[in-house]
Amino acid sequence: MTAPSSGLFDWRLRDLIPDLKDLPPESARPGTLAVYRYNDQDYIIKSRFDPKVAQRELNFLKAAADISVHIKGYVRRSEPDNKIIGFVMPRLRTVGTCTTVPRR
Amino acid sequence: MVVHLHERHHIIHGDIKPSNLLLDGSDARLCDFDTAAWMTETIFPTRFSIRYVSPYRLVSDRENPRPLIPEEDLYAAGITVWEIFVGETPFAPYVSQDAEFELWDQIVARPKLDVDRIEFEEARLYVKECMSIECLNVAQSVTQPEGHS
Repeated sequence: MTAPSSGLFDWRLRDLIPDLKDLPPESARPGTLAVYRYNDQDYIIKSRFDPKVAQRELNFLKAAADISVHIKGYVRRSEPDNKIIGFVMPRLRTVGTCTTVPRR
Repeated sequence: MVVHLHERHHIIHGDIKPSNLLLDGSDARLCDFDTAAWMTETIFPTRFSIRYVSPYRLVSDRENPRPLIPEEDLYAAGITVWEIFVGETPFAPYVSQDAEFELWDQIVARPKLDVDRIEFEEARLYVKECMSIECLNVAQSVTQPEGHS
């Protein structure tokens, strides 16, 4: 699998499945989230059963691209129509709390 | 960030909370737009994160569904900031199903997060402002069913 000239991944879920690692259930609802390692880099794959639902979230992410997580590529289903059913994000950490910083 | 999302992109996120706020270097970035809506849409959320929703959302039910409004994002942002600065889970702890129902009652009754525990003044004022948004006040926004006074 390689990145196309656009710089975005364009992967098929079928090809990814053997290498996907599940995230804890709490963080994997309602979309299915999984970790995928590619070229020594961890990515999050978020996939949905319904392409319309996946596309709707993608539309929001693209519209608010300056403050939303970057889309690194797309995930397609093979059958029956090659439609996008998910996307690829970088694996980032969530914001911490002040308890993680020693108080003066 | 939330105001920017509303005013610049005309999007209501619908599920603002720390786990949907990711750090990309020194930048914070939003994720999980599953429950998002365009400002021009009228949607009635069926899924939400109980600790971060306002009383307005919690009294919404099938008989009196309430549309997603941008102020809900601001309220959730206030609770998120409180959690970040205080370092505790808001309305915590609850683990069992029974306890969750107790929590529900507390939230519907407009519990007060102890905002004064935030040492950083700017954050404290922000959270106070978010917690006092008028239209999220249950008493004012509950619709009386027909035939009841």
